[in-house]
Amino acid sequence: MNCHEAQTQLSEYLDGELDPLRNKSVESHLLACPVCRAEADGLADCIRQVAQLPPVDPPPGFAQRVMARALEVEPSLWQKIIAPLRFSAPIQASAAVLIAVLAVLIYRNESPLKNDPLAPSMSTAIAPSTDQRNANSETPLRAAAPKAKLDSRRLRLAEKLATPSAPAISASKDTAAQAADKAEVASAVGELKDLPHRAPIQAQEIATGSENVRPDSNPFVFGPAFSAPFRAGPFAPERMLSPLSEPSADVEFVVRRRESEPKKAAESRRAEADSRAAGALAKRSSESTTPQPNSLTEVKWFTVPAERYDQFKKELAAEATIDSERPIGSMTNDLSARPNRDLLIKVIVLTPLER
Amino acid sequence: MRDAECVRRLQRGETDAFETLVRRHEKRIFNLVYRMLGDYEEAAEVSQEVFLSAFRAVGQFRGDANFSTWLYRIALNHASTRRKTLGTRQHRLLAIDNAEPLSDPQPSPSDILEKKEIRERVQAALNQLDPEDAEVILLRDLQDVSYDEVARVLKIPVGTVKSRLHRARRALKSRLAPYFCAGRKAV
Repeated sequence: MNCHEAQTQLSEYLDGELDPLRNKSVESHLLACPVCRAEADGLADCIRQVAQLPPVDPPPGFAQRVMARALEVEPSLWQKIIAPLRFSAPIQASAAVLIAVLAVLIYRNESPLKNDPLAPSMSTAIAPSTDQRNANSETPLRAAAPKAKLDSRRLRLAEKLATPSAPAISASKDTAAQAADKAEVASAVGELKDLPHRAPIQAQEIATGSENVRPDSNPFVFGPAFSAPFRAGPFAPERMLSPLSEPSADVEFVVRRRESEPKKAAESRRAEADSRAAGALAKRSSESTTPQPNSLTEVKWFTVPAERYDQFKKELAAEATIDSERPIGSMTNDLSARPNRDLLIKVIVLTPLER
Repeated sequence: MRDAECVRRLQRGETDAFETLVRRHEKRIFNLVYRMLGDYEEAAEVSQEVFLSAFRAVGQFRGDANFSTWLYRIALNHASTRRKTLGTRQHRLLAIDNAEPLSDPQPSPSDILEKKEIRERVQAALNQLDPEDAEVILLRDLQDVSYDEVARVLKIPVGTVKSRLHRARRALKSRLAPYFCAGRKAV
């Protein structure tokens, strides 16, 4: 055995861990090698010094403090087993409650779609108010489309919806070739399929999008040109953007403004209006003349509840001379016999005849 | 009651069995931690954490090894972690001076001074060792743990224990040589 082999086994030799044969070999080498013997003596000193380090007692009450902390602060084994179960249950319950709340919120957000599929599409795609348009300005289609084109599309759809008996549904499908129109028209068509199951659509609600400005108690808040504040037709300026955008009115009036006259005369004439109103239609049909193009000054639109049609006509007659009254489409002369129905009335106002 | 029985009772929720284990092992654990750290107060705190960790984890103790082996492992893990966070060793020597009891009932002043100096040097040398070397020396030479158990505590092969122990002792010897080797006969 050389010195290297002996020194690598010195720790085991000093610990008595070598087998007898190796132990004897190391012992023989140490007897013969003073260098390795000095190394062994040095290691033995270190072992002895560590082993002779005096034991140090832990602080008094160490075990009690450990037990106190273990029992007071730390949960017992049983608690450690049960605690995760008890803790997981509230988490699962909380998750279930959270899911339920989210579901209710989502349902509430989507319920208008389910309850009244027409409402959101009308308020957004067809006739949104100014605020709604602003709020929905992020819609790519709406943001990209020019306003006139968009308004014209809205009016076409409004026209289709306002005249459910017209073949506008299939027509709208045909004209939905453009990709931008397709979704909107398809939405409107899909909603129109529900029409038989729905209450009659009120024209002004479809066409105006300004329902919120009309108080229920006083529906006639429009028409500054007339004494009775009938609701002026919605989107009148927009309807005049293009002939194609003009909706089909239920009734078309051709009236002629009277020349300026003293107020008293006007009032007396207005008083006579009621008496004239009864036979106005026949009278006008005989008296009226086809207005000359250059005499047409403006076209006004009014939305009038059917039951107030006669009142509207009287007030109209008080303000202007009714040249003609022409029900359009499937409308009959008995317009006032259509409860719960708003009439879209077109009034062509002609300039006074020159005397 | 043996450790295994205490552990079983503790695992059944009988916490008084834990007190038996604490009282049985507190001194050895405290001394091991104290020699690893060289600071009495730190040793007290870390030792308490060792037992609390054992109490928390006793459900995971499967009984494959002795409870003492398992407890040594926890103690060395805590002590090594704390040792890394501690700063200079200088203050620990002062703590050692104040903490260690004097075993000789009537030592001469020179003996007291000599033994005190020896203890300080040895503890300082231990503190300068790598934690791995200190662990194996303390387990074997201070706690008189067998090679096999050291291997189980440190989770290393017995051959590695032998080589590591030899390397650690030589390292300790080299650190103590300036103080002891020249006048070794006096020690």
